[in-house]
Amino acid sequence: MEKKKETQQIFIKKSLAIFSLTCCEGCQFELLKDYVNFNHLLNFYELKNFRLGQENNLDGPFDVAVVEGTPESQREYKLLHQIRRESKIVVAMGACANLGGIQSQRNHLPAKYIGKPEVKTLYDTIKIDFSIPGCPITNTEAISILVDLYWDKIPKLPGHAVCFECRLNENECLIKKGLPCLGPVTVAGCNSICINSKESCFGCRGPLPQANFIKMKEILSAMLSKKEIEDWLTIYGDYQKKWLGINKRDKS
Amino acid sequence: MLYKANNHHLDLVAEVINKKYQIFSHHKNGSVFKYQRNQSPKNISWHSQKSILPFKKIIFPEGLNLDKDNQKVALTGLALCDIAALNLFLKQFSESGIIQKREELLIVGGDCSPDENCFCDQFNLDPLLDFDLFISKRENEYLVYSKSWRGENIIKKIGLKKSLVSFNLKAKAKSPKIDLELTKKNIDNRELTKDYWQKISNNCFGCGACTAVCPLCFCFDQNFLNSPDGGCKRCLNWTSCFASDFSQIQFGHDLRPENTDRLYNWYHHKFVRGPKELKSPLCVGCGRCITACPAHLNIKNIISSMNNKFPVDN
Ligand code: SF4
Ligand code: SF4
Ligand code: SF4
Ligand code: SF4
Ligand code: SF4
Repeated sequence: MEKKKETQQIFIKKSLAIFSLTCCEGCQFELLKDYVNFNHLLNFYELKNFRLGQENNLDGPFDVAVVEGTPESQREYKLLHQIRRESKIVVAMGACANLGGIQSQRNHLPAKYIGKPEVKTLYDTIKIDFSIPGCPITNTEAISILVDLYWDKIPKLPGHAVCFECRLNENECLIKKGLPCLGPVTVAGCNSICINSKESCFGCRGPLPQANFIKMKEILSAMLSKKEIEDWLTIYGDYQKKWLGINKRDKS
Repeated sequence: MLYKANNHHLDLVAEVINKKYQIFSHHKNGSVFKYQRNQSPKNISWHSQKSILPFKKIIFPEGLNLDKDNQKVALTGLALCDIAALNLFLKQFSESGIIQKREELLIVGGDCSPDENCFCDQFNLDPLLDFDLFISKRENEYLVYSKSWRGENIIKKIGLKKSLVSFNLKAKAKSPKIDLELTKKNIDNRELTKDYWQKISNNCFGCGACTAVCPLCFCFDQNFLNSPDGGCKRCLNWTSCFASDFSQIQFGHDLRPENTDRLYNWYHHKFVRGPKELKSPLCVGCGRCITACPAHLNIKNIISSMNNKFPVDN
């Protein structure tokens, strides 16, 4: 057995901030899920601002700022712009930040029910450098993205669909059984966790650059009504809208 | 050489194999079959079942750690198509040092029961296959065919009686004829078949499920994973020519930007580059990609309807 090496503190720490806008805060908890991993992260970063995890929080500037949730109030919009001004790198964390999240279903309601403005993603609001997708995010993926950023390495999301990982996990395919699943159009990286537990993929990680929605609707139309298909494709936001998180990555 | 055996003999064969090798065979897991390690030499299923992932997950596992040593492995219950695919797989990787060498493997074939997606009979699989043992069930006995000194050594230890019945390995599937030469010619002529591939790719997700399950897809990314404890792990991760980052080079420039380019590459590698480089198509007709495709695309139908569309020398 190889012994785990203790990190020697030879690198200069960068500063990290983790902010939460309107959301369930589940992604922050997911970051904390593995204390060992999280503690290792602190070998690389000085945690300057993390309301959920510590009492004394400092203002910017930050080397890396991670933001979850969507901006709702004036205060949150102001905070978001301030984070952008004060941070070298801004990372959008979770389905809310990247796609709009569950709350963005509000955008599809008839006008008379909506008392508030449209829910906007972080991409609609400020310039975002990188994404950590998922509802919630995957702990190991998030930590490794942050470690990559420490080393100035451009983090990469998988270029294949959830189906690919689902085959690796040798699940029985839901679509082949006549059940709906959004795996074919969704970015991999969650290790097909939902299908492993016999639940459909609801596309929380957002669409692939090559997502074929025409085909997806054709396949789903054998199982769901038109209205239901629309609902499925907007659970965590408007999947068919070009997701900046991925297209940006392709251009950078 | 051909030998006769009963259940008890096969248990002895398993025990002999178990002394030197980790044994893998097909295991039922809910409604699917998986190819997995046998913790003990008991209850090996010598019969082949179509597992979702083929043998490649054993000798070339996802996330392969390059700093680990290879284990000696016995792959049992392999159907004819999988033996043929394994032969090609070893040929492809022979110089790489990444996977087990032939001498670290024991290849044991077994009877299969073809399903509606099998089309192994379209490929010339039978002659010259390299394996050690093939175990075939007859009415009230087994026939054990040994094809190598490794196989002979195992049989010698148990002392089986020779059999004089006739035995020939043959692809069992019964599928409509596919002209592989014409297939190769048609695919190689991209101008001619361009619209055809566009039509097929409009119906494809580009999800890569087909390449994940194919015994003859072996593309990988070499990754250097920064781990939070300060170390860095060198490993190989499976990837697919359908992935959006597969053919990307600097500045996000993509050599195969559209799904039709990627789909075309899949078929081109299987039926044109394969025969050029390894002297055989990179498809053995196992049908796994058909079973896996969430868009219900069918490689067998796709190549036959292409050949129907472009039937003669072009
Ligand atoms: S169950 Fe869903 S994710 Fe898995 S292979 Fe089928 S369609 Fe893809
Ligand atoms: S399987 Fe789909 S819904 Fe589940 S975590 Fe992965 S991307 Fe999200
Ligand atoms: S499994 Fe089917 S849909 Fe997915 S990439 Fe392969 S052919 Fe296309
Ligand atoms: S291409 Fe399909 S049928 Fe051919 S070997 Fe691969 S999985 Fe089997
Ligand atoms: S078909 Fe694609 S994934 Fe398969 S071996 Fe060829 S290039 Fe790789």
